[in-house]
Amino acid sequence: MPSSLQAIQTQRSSRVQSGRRWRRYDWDTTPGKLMVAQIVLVLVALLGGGVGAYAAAGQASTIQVIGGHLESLNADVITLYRSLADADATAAAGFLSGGVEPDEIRIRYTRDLVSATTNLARASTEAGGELVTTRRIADITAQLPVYTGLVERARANNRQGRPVGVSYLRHASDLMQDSILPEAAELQRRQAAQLDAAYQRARSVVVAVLAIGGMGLAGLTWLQVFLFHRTQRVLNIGLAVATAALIFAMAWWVIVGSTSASSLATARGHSRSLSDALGPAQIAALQARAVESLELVTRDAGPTEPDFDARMQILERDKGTGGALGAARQFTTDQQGKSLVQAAIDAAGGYAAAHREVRRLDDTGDYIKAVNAAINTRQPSAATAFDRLDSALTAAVAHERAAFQRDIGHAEGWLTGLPIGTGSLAFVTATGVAVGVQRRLEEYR
Amino acid sequence: MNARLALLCGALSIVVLAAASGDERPDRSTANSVIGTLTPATATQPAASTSPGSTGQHFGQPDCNSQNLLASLRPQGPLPAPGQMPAGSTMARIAQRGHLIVGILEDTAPFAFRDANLQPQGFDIDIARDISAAIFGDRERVVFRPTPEVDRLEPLRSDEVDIVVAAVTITCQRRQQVDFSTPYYEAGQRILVNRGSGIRDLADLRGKSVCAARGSTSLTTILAAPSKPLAVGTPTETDCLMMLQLGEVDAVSTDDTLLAGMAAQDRQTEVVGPRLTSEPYAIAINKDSPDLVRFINAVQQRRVQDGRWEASYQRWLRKLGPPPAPPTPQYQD
Repeated sequence: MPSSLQAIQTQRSSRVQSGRRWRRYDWDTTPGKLMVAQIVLVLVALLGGGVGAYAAAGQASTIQVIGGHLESLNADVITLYRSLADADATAAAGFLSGGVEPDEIRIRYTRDLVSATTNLARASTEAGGELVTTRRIADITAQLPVYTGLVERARANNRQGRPVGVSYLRHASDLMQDSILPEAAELQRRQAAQLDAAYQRARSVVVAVLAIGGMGLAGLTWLQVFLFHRTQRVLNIGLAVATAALIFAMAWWVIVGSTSASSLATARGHSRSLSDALGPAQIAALQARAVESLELVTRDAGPTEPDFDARMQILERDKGTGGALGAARQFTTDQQGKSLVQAAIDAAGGYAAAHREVRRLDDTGDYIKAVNAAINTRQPSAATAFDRLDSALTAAVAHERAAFQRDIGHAEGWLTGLPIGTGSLAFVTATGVAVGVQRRLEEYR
Repeated sequence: MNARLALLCGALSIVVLAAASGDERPDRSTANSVIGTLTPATATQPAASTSPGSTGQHFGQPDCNSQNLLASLRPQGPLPAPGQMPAGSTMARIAQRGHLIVGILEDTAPFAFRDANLQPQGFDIDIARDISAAIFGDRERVVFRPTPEVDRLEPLRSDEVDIVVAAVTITCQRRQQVDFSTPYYEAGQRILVNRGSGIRDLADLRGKSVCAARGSTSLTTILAAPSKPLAVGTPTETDCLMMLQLGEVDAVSTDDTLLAGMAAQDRQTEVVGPRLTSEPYAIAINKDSPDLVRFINAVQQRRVQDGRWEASYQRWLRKLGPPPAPPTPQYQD
């Protein structure tokens, strides 16, 4: 800032040289006004540049946090939640196949537990020191071995043909459904809220920077109009350069701000679709499947048809307009996403129909056929219908996650060079103001 | 009561009843189960006053002395041949439908449970199949429906089943709601404990916790015990074995027949003490089908005569000791 320093030195020396001369720099006089305007505008430019550069860097890092840390924590928590629900549905289904569990069920249960524990550990690391989240993760971590212990006792007893196995299974499932899953749901809701708050922060920053820029532009305009009236000279090169730099900076911010913000908005749509719609849909579907199995396993007590209906209502209702899948349809913007959600809605209908057949068989006393209709994977059954629903949901989740990554990448890409650009342009603006006004001030000596 | 028990209570919706101090501890309920809240007041009434579904409600005290609780309707004449049920009878209606609908528990080995091939088996199941044979000439014409353990007579009252064969004890309270056949087995309530626990009878259970199924007569007996143990109610009898294995209760108390089934599942447990009660098991039948009651009583008489009752005992209940004499039927007209 050599010119502004020079201006200040000039001011000082004039004050030292003579009191009479200093009077000419009073606010009432033109040079006085010019000097004040010079100082104010240089400060505004530097402030705007500083704030802008800081904000741009902050914005970039917020988006990185959203796309990196928060989203991966969110994804981990959703995966954890899903793995837990899947483990429970799988354990219950395993009981229906009698004493010896089929390989695919045993493998799926093991895979779910590996996934659950891995994601618990990852979420725990990513949560850092965040107290509430850490405590919930600790709660789930403490309960999970109790759950698996109960399931193992259930399996061991079942394999020996001891009816007490069913009690262990129901007890394990109650622990999962009434205690562990609600904890995971709370964890997931909290992550989604934090993600949403980050989106809000990212949006408000653009508005603040543009407000400072607007103030600078107004000041510059006033100064140039003032000079034109006093000196009748249209062009002050310093001020013109300052104005151009400021307008350029603001245009950059508007364009980047709006494009980045719109990418961010669509990214937010995708992440809300994941956390508020497709995630809950996966859980509800798995819980419904667990109820279906438990209805056949634990006959004298345990969940019943209203429990199943409640889960399905959460998943989908009113021909796909309501429930989690209805919400997913609202969130999804692109054609492919829409058709994936529609496929899931159709699959949910298919599963509901397959379940009704299971119930019909069981209610008419054909227990063995009912079990077969629930677990047989070699012919159309509730098992195959559920697998179709599960795959459809997984495909929709994968699509939304990819779309999210793409949009967050765009939002971040647009910000490239913005921090340094804002700083440089602000410096140019400040220099332009200082030099431009200094020229005029010198004419008053 | 430690934190783990609280967790279990929540998860299983188990009712803990502290008869001694009178403080009830029904823990949080889950959406799919109803928590029975027996109060010590109802608990200390005569044992028969609490029947399934009566939790919290007060029925008028039935007058049980004026009639013999165990007397059932006398069979009329010889049994009709299978497939030739008297026109207009309840049996004819069942025959026309093509199958007998029987409410059972699937969780009360050796009386009723599903084997490894998912087929219902047990002492109760044999009776149901023999009734099917008497109506259709075919033991397999039975549709088994699980009945909720907390209220085994519910499907009968709502006409979803023809009969309930589910180790149901004849009580005064239940007799007001349904008809009973003649008793087919006489059980008695005893206590199951871990080996080496030192508990020998109800008196040893002061300050200890005892588990029984909610809505069962066993729970009432525990609540009325002078030693005032902490009664824990679970959704099913078998849940009590789990609670004992998990160390959450000190003892299980229910009918010796069911305890024998539990002891068979866990050799570290044993049945101790004298019979605390007499539990005559009978088939529950709708009140407006006296013809079916008489028919079933005739079927029971024949089962005893042709040795099928004893064969069934040998198959399922041998562990309880040599076969006793079948309960002597008592009739009214």
